Amino acid sequence: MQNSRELNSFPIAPIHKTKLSGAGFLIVEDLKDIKPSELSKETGIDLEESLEIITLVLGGDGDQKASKPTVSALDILHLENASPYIITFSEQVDSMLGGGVPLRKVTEFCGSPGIGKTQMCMQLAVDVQIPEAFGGMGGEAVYIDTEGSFIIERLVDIAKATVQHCHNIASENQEPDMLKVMGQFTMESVLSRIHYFRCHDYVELLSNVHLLPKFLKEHPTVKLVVVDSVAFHFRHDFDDMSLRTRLLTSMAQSFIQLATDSSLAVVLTNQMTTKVQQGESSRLIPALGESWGHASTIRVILYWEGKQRWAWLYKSPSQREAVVPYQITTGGIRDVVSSKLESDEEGEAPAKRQRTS
Amino acid sequence: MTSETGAQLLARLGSRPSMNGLEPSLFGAGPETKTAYELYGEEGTGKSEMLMNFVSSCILPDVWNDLKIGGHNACVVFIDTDYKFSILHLALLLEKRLRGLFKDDSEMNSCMEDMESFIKSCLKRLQLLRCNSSSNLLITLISLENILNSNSDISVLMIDSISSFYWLDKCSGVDNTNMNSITATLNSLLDTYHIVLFVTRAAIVKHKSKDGDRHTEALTADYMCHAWHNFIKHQYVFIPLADSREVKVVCQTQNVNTRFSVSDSGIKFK
Amino acid sequence: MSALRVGLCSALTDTVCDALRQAGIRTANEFVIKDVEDLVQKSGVSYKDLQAIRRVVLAQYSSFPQCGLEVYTSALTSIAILPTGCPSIDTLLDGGLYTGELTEIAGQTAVGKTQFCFSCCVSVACDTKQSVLYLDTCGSFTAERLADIITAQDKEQEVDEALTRVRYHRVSDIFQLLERLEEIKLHLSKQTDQFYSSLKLVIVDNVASVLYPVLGGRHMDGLGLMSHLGLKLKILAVDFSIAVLITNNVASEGARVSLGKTWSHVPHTRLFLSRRHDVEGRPVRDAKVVKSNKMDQAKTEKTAVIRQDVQTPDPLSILS
Repeated sequence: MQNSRELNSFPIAPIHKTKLSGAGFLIVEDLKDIKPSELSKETGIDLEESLEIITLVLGGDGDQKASKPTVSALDILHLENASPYIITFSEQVDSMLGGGVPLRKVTEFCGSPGIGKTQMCMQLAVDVQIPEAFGGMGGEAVYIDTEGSFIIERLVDIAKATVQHCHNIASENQEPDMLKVMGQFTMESVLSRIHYFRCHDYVELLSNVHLLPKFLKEHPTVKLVVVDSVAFHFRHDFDDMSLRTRLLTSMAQSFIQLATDSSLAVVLTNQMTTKVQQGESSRLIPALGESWGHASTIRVILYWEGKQRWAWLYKSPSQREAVVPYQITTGGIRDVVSSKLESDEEGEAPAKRQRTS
Repeated sequence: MTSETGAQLLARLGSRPSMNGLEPSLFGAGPETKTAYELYGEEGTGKSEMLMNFVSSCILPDVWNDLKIGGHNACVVFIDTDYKFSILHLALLLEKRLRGLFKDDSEMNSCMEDMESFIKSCLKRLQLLRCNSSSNLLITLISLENILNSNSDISVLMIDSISSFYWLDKCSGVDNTNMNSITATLNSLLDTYHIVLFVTRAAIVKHKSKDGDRHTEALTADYMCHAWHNFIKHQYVFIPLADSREVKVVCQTQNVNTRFSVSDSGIKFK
Repeated sequence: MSALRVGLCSALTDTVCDALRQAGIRTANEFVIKDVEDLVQKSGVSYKDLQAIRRVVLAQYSSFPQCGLEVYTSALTSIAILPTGCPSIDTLLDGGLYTGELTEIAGQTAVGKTQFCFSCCVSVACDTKQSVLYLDTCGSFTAERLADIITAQDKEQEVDEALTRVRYHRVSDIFQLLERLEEIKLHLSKQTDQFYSSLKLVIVDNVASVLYPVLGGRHMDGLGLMSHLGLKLKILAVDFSIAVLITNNVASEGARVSLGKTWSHVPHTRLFLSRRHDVEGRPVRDAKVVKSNKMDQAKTEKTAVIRQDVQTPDPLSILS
């Protein structure tokens, strides 16, 4: 039973599959007790690759696979309950997300230029470092910049404000643990713990994503990977749409893999594009199309309504769809003070669809 | 040459139940023995439903309790390669078909008790096989000799669908070798046992016609091996009609151009 | 099927195997299509031995015919209908998810496909007390949400027990998925694990995530893998009487499911979810059965309007 699995369901190069089936090797059983040299002789596949194929097919059936643990949903629940969130410094956005940006998930922020996607990313890259004594996770961040929109001065502002905020809490509470870690939690230390990568085209981006697991092994305290933006290099100069879909979806798999394997948060930003529908007015939707829409687990759309910035939780496996206002100050992302909101909105619920006239 | 027993000889040459009168809208007087009919079409055009319709006509008797059904009282071998065959669906079809024949409710109610056991007795005339690869299908077809030898009531062989393993074979390098052998085996089964073959084939390969997407004279994509297309004597093409829920059926060799819809009680021709 | 191997039957010895190979015959199907008398000439193996081998090969590798009546009786006892947790969708599906069937749920991003999977999970694990296996290709599984749904039904004390009946596997590519399916079948035929003996529902969320990366390009390998996956999912459903639920995306224009013509034939039942805003601007979902072999749906397309709501017991509750 076990060995009747077809060889064509293994990741073997198509050309070798043809050679294997041509020589009568069709299922796992057929490769049992075959030496690499015999396989090579019968199929014409070279010796080294024959060995690889045998290892791939039979090696996986051994102890390694049997020891792969089965996980129940209850185990996952315990894991989830124990894993912290990265806060955004806007309580409303945090509570909309169920506590903040979750680890082990891919979160995507979509929005038009200037809405504050990069600010959000910088805020998160700083907040992930908040020491454990303050309820943070004392992590590091990887920041992949594709657009060149990363401005160090802004980061310094946000880092300063965050450090100051923690400093205030520490002095108010006179908690010795807090006071002790404040010595190491400075603007300079914050900047030094953000690993910045600049990618100029999609090849660079893909190779960076490909090399990330190795980097993360060397830097185990990284709890956040930011890609700002994921769309940039894929939006233009792509004639072969099926190639684009393939690259994007396999990159999406890498992100999910990264998030779950290394227990970290992946945050992506995406641009908006105009969709013209027959008989309907055109509207803005996240770029990269329908197949990319499934890449992120959580999708937040940032948009303007009048003079007010809004965050719309469009998709989440655990939280209800919601819209909350936020603002950007010198110190970073913040809640909107309620009096200001009322005067702006006059108590009217915001329209959930953004339309271009 | 293998020796034959008297019973085998009888099974081979003796007369199997006739298919005359099966679905006149498609086959006129009836499908011919030793002939392969292909039902070709896209997903959701009712090919499998049509086969179910044939199966129920085949396994029902001509008359039951003075009720004229018009079935053929024949045995059917049904090969399911798509893992789609639903026996409950078939049973339901049989029931609806029977219910539709009664003149009034009282007549029907008097027969209700027998209905279940009658349907069961009909289902005995169906032999179901499932195949999970083209090799499996080939070897199964070769082994059908035994079943056909031992049962002289089998008149029809059905395969739903012949294209299930197309991409699998194409990508594992087996390509057409199995399909050629399958075609040869089917050919010899039809010739030896004088049976009818119905197969469905899915439109899984885009048909590149010069007129874009319009349905023109060339309706099908002949993506199978040559041997297969030579083997099929009559091809019925199922075309979904855009505005209605009806499906058009065209067979050029038989001069058929008709349409049907799938209703509660199965297939209905216009 | 398989290569001819020594030990398949007593007549198939090393010498015979070698002789057949010399005659160009390696596999079972190469063997059975040859005329036995010709083979005697070519291989020098005796007629008697070849006939014996042929009988064994045919018996070993052909499918076994089942009488329609047997199939019917066993179907009546083995087919179970699993409630989805959304009464309106149960009505659409003629009761719920059928064991022995592959049900596909398709729709655009954020239409509630994953929520529907969660709902089925809870319904099967909590209400029918059967096991569920969740194969997650897109990283959206959230146990907390399952617990929330159970809690919202005032069954808080059952959370732990129900969640142990759900097992989770993260799957990152098509090969891992195929390997998992193979593993499941192995466990099911062994029947030693309590979890697998009560396994009734296998969920794959989402098939497109693992198929997109292998499709297109010059090779047609992806289509082969796609057919392979479709077949394996259906075999799992039919041979082991399990309900298999998968999710799929829609093609860019939104009217058709993604993955093209070959995949469109795969599922037994297909449910289409779409999203719109009602007159008050609240988001609602429409559910529609677009493919089914249950007769009543073949005639008319039914639609249910559902609304996603975290607070009510139904994750997708009926609006109208």
